Amino acid sequence: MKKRNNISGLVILFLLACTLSCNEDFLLEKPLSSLSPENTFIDAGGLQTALDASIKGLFNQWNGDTREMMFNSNMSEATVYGGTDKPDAPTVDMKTYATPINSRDNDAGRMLSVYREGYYQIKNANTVIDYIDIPVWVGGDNDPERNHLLGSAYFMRALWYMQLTMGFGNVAFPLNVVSEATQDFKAFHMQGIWDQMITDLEYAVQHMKKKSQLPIGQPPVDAAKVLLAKYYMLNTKFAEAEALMDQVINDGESRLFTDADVPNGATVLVGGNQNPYNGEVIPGFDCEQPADAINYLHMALGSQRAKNPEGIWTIVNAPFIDGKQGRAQRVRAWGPNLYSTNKGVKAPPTGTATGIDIRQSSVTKQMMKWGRGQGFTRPTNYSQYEIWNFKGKWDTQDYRHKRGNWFDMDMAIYDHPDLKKNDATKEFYHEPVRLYHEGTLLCEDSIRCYYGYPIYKFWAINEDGELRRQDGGETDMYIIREAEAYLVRAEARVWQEKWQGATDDINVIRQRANAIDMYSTSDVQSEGIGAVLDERNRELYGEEYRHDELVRMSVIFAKTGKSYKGKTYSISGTDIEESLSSKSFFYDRVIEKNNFFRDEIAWTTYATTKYTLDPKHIFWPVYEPYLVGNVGAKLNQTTGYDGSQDNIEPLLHVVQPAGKPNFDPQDAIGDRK
Amino acid sequence: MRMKKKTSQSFLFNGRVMLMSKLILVGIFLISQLGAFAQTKQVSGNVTETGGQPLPGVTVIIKGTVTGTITDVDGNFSIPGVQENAILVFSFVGMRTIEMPVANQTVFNVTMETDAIGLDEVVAIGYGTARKKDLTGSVVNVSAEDLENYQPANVQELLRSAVPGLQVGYSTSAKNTPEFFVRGDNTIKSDRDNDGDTEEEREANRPLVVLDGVIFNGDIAEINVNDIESVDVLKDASAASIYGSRASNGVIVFTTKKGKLGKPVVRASAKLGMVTGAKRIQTFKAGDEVMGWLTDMNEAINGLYTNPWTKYEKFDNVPSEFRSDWLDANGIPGETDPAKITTAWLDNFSFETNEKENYLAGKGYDWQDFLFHTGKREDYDISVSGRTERVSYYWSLGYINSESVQMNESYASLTSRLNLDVKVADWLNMGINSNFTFQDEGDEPIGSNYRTASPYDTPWENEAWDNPDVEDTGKYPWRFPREYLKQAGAGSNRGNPYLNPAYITRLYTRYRIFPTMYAKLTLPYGFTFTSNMTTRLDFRKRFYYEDSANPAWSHGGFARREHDEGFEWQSDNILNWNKEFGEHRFDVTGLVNAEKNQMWYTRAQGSSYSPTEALGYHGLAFALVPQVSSSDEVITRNALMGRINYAYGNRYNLSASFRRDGYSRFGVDNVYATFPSVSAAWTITNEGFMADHPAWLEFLKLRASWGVNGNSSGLGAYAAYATLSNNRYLNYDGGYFVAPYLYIDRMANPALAWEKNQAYNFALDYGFWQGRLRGSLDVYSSRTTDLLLDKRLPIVTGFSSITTNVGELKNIGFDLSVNTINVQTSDFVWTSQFNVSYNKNEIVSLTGELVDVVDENGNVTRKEPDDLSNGWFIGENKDVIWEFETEGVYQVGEEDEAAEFGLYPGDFRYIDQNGDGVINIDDKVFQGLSKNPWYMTFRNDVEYKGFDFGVILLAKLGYKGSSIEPFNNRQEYIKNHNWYNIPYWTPQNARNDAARINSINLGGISTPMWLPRSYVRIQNLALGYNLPESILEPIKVSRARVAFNIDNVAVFTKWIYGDPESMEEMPRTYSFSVDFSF
Repeated sequence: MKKRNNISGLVILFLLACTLSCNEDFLLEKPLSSLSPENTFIDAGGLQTALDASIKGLFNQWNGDTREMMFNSNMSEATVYGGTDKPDAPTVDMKTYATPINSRDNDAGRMLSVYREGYYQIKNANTVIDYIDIPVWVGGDNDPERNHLLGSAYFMRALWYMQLTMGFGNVAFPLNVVSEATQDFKAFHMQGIWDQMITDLEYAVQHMKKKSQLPIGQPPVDAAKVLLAKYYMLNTKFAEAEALMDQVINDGESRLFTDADVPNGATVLVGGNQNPYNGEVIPGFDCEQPADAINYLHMALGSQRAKNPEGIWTIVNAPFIDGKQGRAQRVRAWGPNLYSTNKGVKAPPTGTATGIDIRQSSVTKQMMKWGRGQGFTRPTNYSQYEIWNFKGKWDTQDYRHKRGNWFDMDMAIYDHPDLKKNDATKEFYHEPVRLYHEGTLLCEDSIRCYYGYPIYKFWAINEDGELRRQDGGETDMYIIREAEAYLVRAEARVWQEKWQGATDDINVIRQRANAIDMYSTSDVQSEGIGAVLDERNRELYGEEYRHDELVRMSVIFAKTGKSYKGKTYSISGTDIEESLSSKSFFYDRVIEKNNFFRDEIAWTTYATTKYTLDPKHIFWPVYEPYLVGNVGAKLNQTTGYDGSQDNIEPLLHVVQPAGKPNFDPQDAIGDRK
Repeated sequence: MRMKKKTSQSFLFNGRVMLMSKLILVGIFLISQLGAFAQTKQVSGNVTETGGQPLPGVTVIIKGTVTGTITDVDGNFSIPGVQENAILVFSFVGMRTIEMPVANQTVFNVTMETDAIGLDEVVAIGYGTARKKDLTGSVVNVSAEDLENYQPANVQELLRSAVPGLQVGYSTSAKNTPEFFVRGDNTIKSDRDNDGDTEEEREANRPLVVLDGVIFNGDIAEINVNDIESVDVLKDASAASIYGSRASNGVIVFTTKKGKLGKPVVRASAKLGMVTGAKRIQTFKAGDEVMGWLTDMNEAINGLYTNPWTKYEKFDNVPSEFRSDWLDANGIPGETDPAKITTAWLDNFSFETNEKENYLAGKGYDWQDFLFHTGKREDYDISVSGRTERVSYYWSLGYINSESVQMNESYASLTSRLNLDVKVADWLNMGINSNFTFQDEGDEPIGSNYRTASPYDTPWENEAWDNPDVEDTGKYPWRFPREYLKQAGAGSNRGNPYLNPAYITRLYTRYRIFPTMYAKLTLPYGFTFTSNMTTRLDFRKRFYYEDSANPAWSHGGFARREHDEGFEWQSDNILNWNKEFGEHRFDVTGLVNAEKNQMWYTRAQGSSYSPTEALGYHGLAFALVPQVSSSDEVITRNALMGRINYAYGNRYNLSASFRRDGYSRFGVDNVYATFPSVSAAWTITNEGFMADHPAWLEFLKLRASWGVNGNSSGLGAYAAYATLSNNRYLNYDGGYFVAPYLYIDRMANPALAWEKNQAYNFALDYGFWQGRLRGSLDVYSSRTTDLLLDKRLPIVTGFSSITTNVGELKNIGFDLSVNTINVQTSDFVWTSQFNVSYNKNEIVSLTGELVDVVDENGNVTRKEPDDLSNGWFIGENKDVIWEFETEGVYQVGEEDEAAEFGLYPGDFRYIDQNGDGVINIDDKVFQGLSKNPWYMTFRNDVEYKGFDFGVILLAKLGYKGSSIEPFNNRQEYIKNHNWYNIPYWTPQNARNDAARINSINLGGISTPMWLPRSYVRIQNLALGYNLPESILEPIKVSRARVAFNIDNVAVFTKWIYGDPESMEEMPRTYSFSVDFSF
């Protein structure tokens, strides 16, 4: 009997164990340390975090080597890529290396990340738009908080689509967060994309908050107005663009920063005077310069830039706050490389001895003073010389080109300790750097290692991480500021041939900068858009997506039939991308002003590498692996690149109303069965 | 009562505890059948081995009963009450079983012979054991004793060559925890983190590890190899399906040692070893080698290959007519001072001050001396074991202190195991199998990148060398005080690998306790019930402090404390029924299992210490900038399993099992799945019609199996959920403030479910000439469906991939083992073991969706698209290489041909497969496999008197490895002063296997070339000597052995870029060991 009891006990135990472990709740997994859309995007605070992700995506384009922003400049007439140790750079010998299979995704070329990150950030903006009505809004569809968030998401999305269409032409056009494995995207005509963005931005400028109502870092309504003005101009609605800029200039939210705002007797550090390791004074140029409207405006000290009234939309970053954002590294990206490669700055008399102490350590003085530039962005002769030679005068009175604010190579000195050991070189120790000595070239790789640039807006001491990496610390940066609003209005007026107004707008900027000469109305009339572009280059060097501006203007030239230096452009058929890929203002302007591409200048480091450009390079290739996952449909390659021969006709978008979540554009036009 | 008493006496232990459960069951069954008492007598005798030595621990049993005993230390036995019609059965593991009718005999002196085929060996089959002869599935048993000669330092060395179909990877770290693979890969995974390696796929193909019957989620380094009694590898679906959901990659079952009957045995061993560098890619050495490279490199980059002289050439090598030009070009016209001439030359290469000093002083260094050393390995073990009537015990303590060849990299561990079994009552055994581990990963290792290290540069400032005022310990790594460490090495971005470790203090330790507590009830009618409760505690600490005295840091001191805590429990309740009816034998097992794994992680860190950082990571409160984060997960699983093993006579075996699993990481719609299996075996040689089979044919058995298993590994936490990434940035509102930003980084997939693998196995076990030639051949085929695939999505979705159940992968292959006894005399034995396995897979499906595809002829067909971004192709091996094909190098004179593609002489010639004049994705072709289909081991052992000698060869064949080195186009050249000493093309040294310096790689700078990687390695060489008893007897030592062995003796391969296995370093280990038992 006892055994039978044992057995029945056993069976009960077995069954008990069974029921315990078969309990459904037992296998229910609850996320513990990570959030999900369902528990996060349910109120304004949650949606704000998705908007912030998209905003941070833009900050990333400026931080750390000035990534996509710098790349964009190197694809214009203002600068070229100068990292002369990467001969496969898709930004240099473009005819050979700007291909859909070039995997370069760094300083040498950012075609990949512009495309990839663009769509990632569109997803984040779409998150806000898709989830906008998940929270219960007190005011329903008229709730100002709702509409500000929705408008801000529209603004961010429009910003990314501007970059994608200016970079790649006709592209895929998701307007929702994809929730299943969609693999049948097709490209849309960019015109339809712009039309949707204009509708969205018109909503945004009605509902977004003003700068004074927002923390710095958040895009205010004036930022949306600047972007909408550019979109309007794409559709040749110049008067509307001008009116928007009138609002931005007159609404009192931001204003130009002028000499009157500069505190009396103030000074500005345009470089480092002290070795950050030990505070000892570094010999050579005194970087503490008298303050003026320009160097003070751009001074990276404390929160000066965040507080400056000129900022419309500003990237916020500061040393020692959590270290999340990383360094701006603006000097690294934009400054000449004084310190490395064996074709760099060599000492007189023969140009064989290394001129500057290149050790990466606490003893390296000139690096501490001028920052550890890598020469990734090399100004063209146009940026370095031509624009400063105004009306026959070499303008060093202009604050933007004043010695000190502008770095010239002879502000650096030879400080390599070995120079003192040698009879021939010791007299040059601590002498200013020069390019020639009695006819002998002292710096072979002058593309990367020898040029001047406006250091005032790039230099920021690095207090974080490794001190020996003085390549530009964490700092605030202007994305859009009042000066650009004037220049956008000047452009809108030029297209309308309002020469006087355009001249006034340009001269406001020149006056603030203390330029010697102003433009006359006839100057602007004869130079047309060139005057605007020149002034943009003087004012916004290193602050604008220069390539995108040139492409945008190329569309306008083609749509309006206006002429540039006797050349006119047009759109044949419906495909803007195809038309511009064979002939464009962009190509003509770059070849005109960019001596590197025009003259196909070769490197000294890799003698077979030279700068080359074809008309098709107005738009960039899409990295092939990004397209091949789209197995359900043909997603077009950019015109002219390998793979584009199989392109299909892009889709025509039907504009959807703003104010509520979108339908998938492909579904909306019945493209997916 | 009387019956109970009798039962207790008749309980048998044969020394292999794994047999115990079976015998108990049999015993209980028989007792219940015992009827009247017949006439009986006492029998006794002695059992010896072939050589005459007494054999203790032999089971002597009366056939058909559980009555019996085991022989004592002298091999003697005695059984009372034996009937005359009884048959005595003598059995011992590894020996051939002997049956003797009692009749009128009372004394039995028996000599047992070794059984090479080992049919009576007991094998762990998961939640139970079986005799080898009853196996229906593919289970390979490895006895640790067999490999003792090779002195395996760890589990992987024990198994590397032992099991056909089991591949063991390599690890070069001090801790040394490589991967294991059973048969081929049954799943595919993308490179989710885009880092270019395939750890995601390796992880997803890892076999399940079971330790003493319990699923082991730990780290293989926790298991002290000296504690292992045997290892069973469950290879086929039916064998593994007992573990259902996690078994599609096979199962490795470790069984640890248990106490053996007799007086306590103390065993102690010590092993000392040295780890040295073996095959490693070399850099140019100081002197003409490196200077020649720098000259060639600079000439190449400047396009001066063919000039009669260049300024980069060494002055002495310049033809005399050009010497004055040379001096002019180097800016020193008319100079005659050799030192100045040399300095000018060195300036061409941007030598730094200390490099020039060293060059002129004739000093040169090999950075390999700074970065690698001969590492020490120490391994001490002691164990005590024994068994009394009621208690069996095994306790061990092991200590390992090991270094790798990398400077400052070390690992120490202390392991202790206690296996205790107490017979509480006749029907109840209780016990514990527990493992304790302490691991210490030592100090911050010194980085080992020597590729661009200048041979005229050192980690220290030149002033430290030959300076009597600077303390010189003469020993690396800390030869000179840290103040003299250079802040950066000569060249670009070299850093100084010595610098940061000199300012880092860390404590990386881990404690783990893994006890299984069990109770085993022996019940009537052949039932046993076992209840296991296993807990696992894991505490990992990672404390780390950076001293702000390091001039490279400006964080004001940084310290971090990371705590991982894991608590896991598993509960297994196993009901077993074992019964025999005449020729029919049943063994039925039922299981109810539940488990819960809980992991908690906390990180606290801070920088900018004030007022002092003196407390390091102990004083986080003094950090002015604190940061914290945490990450927790709870995973649960449960399972129900049933299995029936049926045997008829000694010829037919049948097994069927069924398991249902639940796992919380799957989508809510699919937490459960079921896994069935069926298998059968037929022992042909036991058939009546084979009764007169030829004498050489000893044994033949056919096996066939089918089963379905699951795979859930390789799935990340919360894989079925949409998740948000979580980060922060800054905004400003009168002051800077930190704002969170979140975005969706994964789509939800509530349908996420098990990956299923259905497999067939057909096998033949054979034995000829009394087992002189024996082994098995297993042929298998499997098909994995519902692959848990990271499907790459077009980037325009904003996601890079999604994990879904799509696709199908097929595997076929075979495992063959051939074991031979080549020579066997009384004092000379030579045996060989040859294992070969072959595996081939094929992707059958990837998306399951057909799309229109245009073929070369422009016809539209509907087929499944390939996944080009992951390199997966329908109908191809998942490891197929798909890349541009090259055909030698353009030579001088072929400029025009090269120019068509924008190339130059010295560049690789790409094959334009479709002849369209462009090298693009359409020109990529299949070029073999990136993973070896063939894996072979060949082991030979020779014993002569007390000496033994063994050698193991290992081969991986039929695959290619990737390298970007043949292109010789790294941007680091121009800024640095050294490089790998590998072939490069120049017009003077034209070749076809390597390109010019700075050649153009049309595939992009990171596109590799694929080169044959197959190799044969002399994996291990062992020499040992067992001291003769004549010496040992007087000092009361029962066994003593000294041994010497070498691991990684040599490798034979065409691969030139380092060791073919690791692609870089592969150390060689020499070790010496002594081992005593008393």
